[in-house]
Amino acid sequence: MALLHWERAAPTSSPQTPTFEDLALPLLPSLYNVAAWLARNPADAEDLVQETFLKSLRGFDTFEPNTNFKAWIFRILRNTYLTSRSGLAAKRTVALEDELEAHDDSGPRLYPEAAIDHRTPELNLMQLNDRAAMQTAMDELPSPLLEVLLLCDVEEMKYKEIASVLEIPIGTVMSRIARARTTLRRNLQLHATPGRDSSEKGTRL
Amino acid sequence: MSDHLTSTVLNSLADGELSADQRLADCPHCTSTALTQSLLKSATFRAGHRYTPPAALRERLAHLSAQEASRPHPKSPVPERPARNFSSWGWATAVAMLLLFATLFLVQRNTQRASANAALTAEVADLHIARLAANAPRRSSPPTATP
Repeated sequence: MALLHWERAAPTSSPQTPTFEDLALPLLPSLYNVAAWLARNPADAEDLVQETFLKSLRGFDTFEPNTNFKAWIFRILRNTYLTSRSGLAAKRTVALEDELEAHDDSGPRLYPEAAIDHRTPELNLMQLNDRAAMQTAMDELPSPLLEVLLLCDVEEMKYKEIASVLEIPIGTVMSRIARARTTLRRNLQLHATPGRDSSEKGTRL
Repeated sequence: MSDHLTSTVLNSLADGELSADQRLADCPHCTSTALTQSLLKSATFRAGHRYTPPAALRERLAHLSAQEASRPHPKSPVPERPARNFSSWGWATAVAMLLLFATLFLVQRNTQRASANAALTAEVADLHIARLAANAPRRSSPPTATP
């Protein structure tokens, strides 16, 4: 009965298009988290998020309703990051990585080292449960790999959305994810040791 | 060995982009690798949620949004409307001017024609009177009595 009432009432009530605040403010934790990871500095992350908000607010007229707002605002965040001081610094740092990646952008490739795991499942589990070790291993990823991993694994975006945010083909998304996980596991092997102290500075969950 | 799933396929399976492959069920190695990828994905998810936005930032952004919303939009459809009105007014003015000029032209032409007709009539009348006067017998002057 309530459903019928709702169905009847729905057409009479004017269909309110969501405002910028309705769409953007719930995404603030995600935006800030990704920004802090990329900028590797909470203060820079605040500036980055604030600039992203301003840009997206001013360009909200260009956003097409009923399309993916999350992908849209993350694309603005990413572009803002790329032109920011920390983004430019990261770009200089990973210039060699980009060179290597240019050869991988033709499509998905085989990563045999990722498919072969010589460690025991117990060791794997222990390392994966070591959150601090995981964060250290992620910190050491170059920005292009870190951003794709954050969007895929942390923000749980689909490949299509990631391709839209990063403005790259889906094949490149797939190859980057494979590379990111391979590198992450390699970093984890180097850094994760059972019983490691997990205290870290900064605002953490 | 070449029958093993590639890491890209295994990643796609872990990310839910592909549905489970039959080879996954048939190959313990692929199954184990896919499981590892899934565990890695879960661990990344947990470790990835690391930073929380400060409350001050949220307040600042809400304030910025409100401030931006209260600002008048530089781009609005208002400037186009006067242009359209001006255009329609322009057309109306042009039509009115055309009608006015046509009316003036017609009036002037009729006036000229009327005056030409009047002059012609007057000339014909003068000629007629002159002809009549020429054909009429001349009266002799009455005889005057001599004393």
